[in-house]
Amino acid sequence: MCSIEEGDLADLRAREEAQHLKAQALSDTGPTLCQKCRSAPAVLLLRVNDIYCRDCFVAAFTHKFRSTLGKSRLLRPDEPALVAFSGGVASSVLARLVSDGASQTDSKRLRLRPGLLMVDESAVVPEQDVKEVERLAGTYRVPVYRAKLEAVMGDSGAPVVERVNCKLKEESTGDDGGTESSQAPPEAASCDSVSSEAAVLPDEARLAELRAQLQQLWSAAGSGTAREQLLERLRSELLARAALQLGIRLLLLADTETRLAVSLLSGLAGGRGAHAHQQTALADRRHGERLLVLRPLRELSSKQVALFAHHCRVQYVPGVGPDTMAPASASIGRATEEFVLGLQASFPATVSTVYRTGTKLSAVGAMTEDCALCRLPLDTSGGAASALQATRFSQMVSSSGPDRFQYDQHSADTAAGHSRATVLPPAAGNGSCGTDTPRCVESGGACCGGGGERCGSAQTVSRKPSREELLERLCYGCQLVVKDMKEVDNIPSFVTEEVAVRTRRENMRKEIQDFLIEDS
Amino acid sequence: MQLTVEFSGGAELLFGNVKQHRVTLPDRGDGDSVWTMEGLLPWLRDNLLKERPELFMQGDTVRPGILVLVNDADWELLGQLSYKLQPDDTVVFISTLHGG
Ligand SMILES: [Zn+2]
Ligand SMILES: [Zn+2]
Repeated sequence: MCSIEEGDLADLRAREEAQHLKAQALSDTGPTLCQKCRSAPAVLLLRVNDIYCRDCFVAAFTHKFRSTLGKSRLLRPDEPALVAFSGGVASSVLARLVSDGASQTDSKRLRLRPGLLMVDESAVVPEQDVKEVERLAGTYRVPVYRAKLEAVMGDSGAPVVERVNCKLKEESTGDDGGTESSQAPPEAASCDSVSSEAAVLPDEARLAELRAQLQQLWSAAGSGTAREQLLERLRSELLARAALQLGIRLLLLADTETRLAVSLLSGLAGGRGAHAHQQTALADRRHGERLLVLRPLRELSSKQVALFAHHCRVQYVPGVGPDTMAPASASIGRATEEFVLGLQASFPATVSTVYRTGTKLSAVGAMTEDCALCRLPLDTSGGAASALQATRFSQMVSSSGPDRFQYDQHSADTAAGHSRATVLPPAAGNGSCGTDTPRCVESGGACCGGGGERCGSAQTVSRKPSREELLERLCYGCQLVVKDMKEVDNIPSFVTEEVAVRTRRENMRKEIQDFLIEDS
Repeated sequence: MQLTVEFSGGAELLFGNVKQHRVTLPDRGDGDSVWTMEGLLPWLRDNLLKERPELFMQGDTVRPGILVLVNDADWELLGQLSYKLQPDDTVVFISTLHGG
């Protein structure tokens, strides 16, 4: 039978049992006992039928984290791992689990060499208490790295991350009492292995420039939703780039089940249905073999995480962001969170059901190209008769007016299947490169992108792509973010570089198209 | 009756950014000194809360996403609103809301 139905039945049964237990708990005169050890008084009610005492809860919580991490079967023994650390409750709990696990001395030791990677978002989130986050990060006795969000705006080869502390060696050997002889303390080991690579610092003057650029991009983003999504994209790009720069293959994110359920639903609302699976998966493979992004808290709810923090005295800074204290109407993300938690209050299986459904979704059809901003598969090349194309077409017609509109039959026939329409530029500016490819007309007379290919125009150095060229290389969800923007002059260069490369490649392909033998 | 009330996870932002409060609940009229959670919530809202009551309460209970612990035990195990407070109880409110 289908696993969904079995799961739902089990859920239902468990819920009934929970109601029963709860009723029993309330009617009893004595303290309710933990359902697990049946000796200590219960203090927690989780999900449906889990009534736990503190110790059993902490053990079960830790076990869940370890088994989720183990499930990936992708870990190599004792390899370095970075925890994306915001100082918030979830990443603080993850940092605690990982660092405690890795410093255990028995056979249960978590075979990772952890480090923390914090992102300084103060350029766009002035409320972020960077000093406090740094202080908290310092309490875990593992290497701490810091990357500033603005660094992601720079060239993709530029360094983005620096080492914050490296005074752990003496401290840790002192505390561990040197009981371990064969294995060096994990924190000391990772400190040595990566510190040399992290020595390159991003240039301060350049960072100030990028900070200004980021702030302009931020103020160009029209809505709370666009900002929220932009921050999320830039942050994950930065984390990936930092890990790559440090030569660390494993990046751990503290997304909880609740967080993933909310972002799944707000993703659907924001036109990211095709990416539902990647967004909730344990392992995020969008960066290929060089970087493995894992979400080891994905089967733990935000309630469990908050309770773990409470019972294990994990310190954290309460979440601040552009939406802190904002009403639900501030963004789609906030509204979705409100909605999900509201439902969850009456139907305790809400979050896990949404989340489990998300993990079962997958996009139909092969998507060969990736989005230039979020690096997830480009979902915008669905057939010429798709709803998306219809939306685009009507938008094109209504925004360009009768005189400047001309449907381009030629490009509609291209292999990519895009139905593309061309807006003719008013009068002059027609093709400095003298070819008659529709692309040159589309981009308002500028040449096809430079890079030393045949056309030989003067404009060879990285021209900023137009809004249209940009949109064409973005997935539907990212298009919505960019469309909301007042101007696109400050789009980070990792995106514009990618757009330029792809545009150039496509132009070249068009030029030699007649000589290609197509396999149909 | 005296209680310790704590706020964390961002809920403290609504209460003057103070995490721990020692509060003294007045006797209610008619010699009735019994306080339940149902009475405590609006009392906190009216006497301790500094801003945005809608971010703390919704209807007669706490807003979804705020956990309530009494002496470290989930209030769902204690009957939630009907729980009768005892002197020197510690009541903890933890916000699990991303933006709160
Ligand atoms: Zn127990
Ligand atoms: Zn995208």
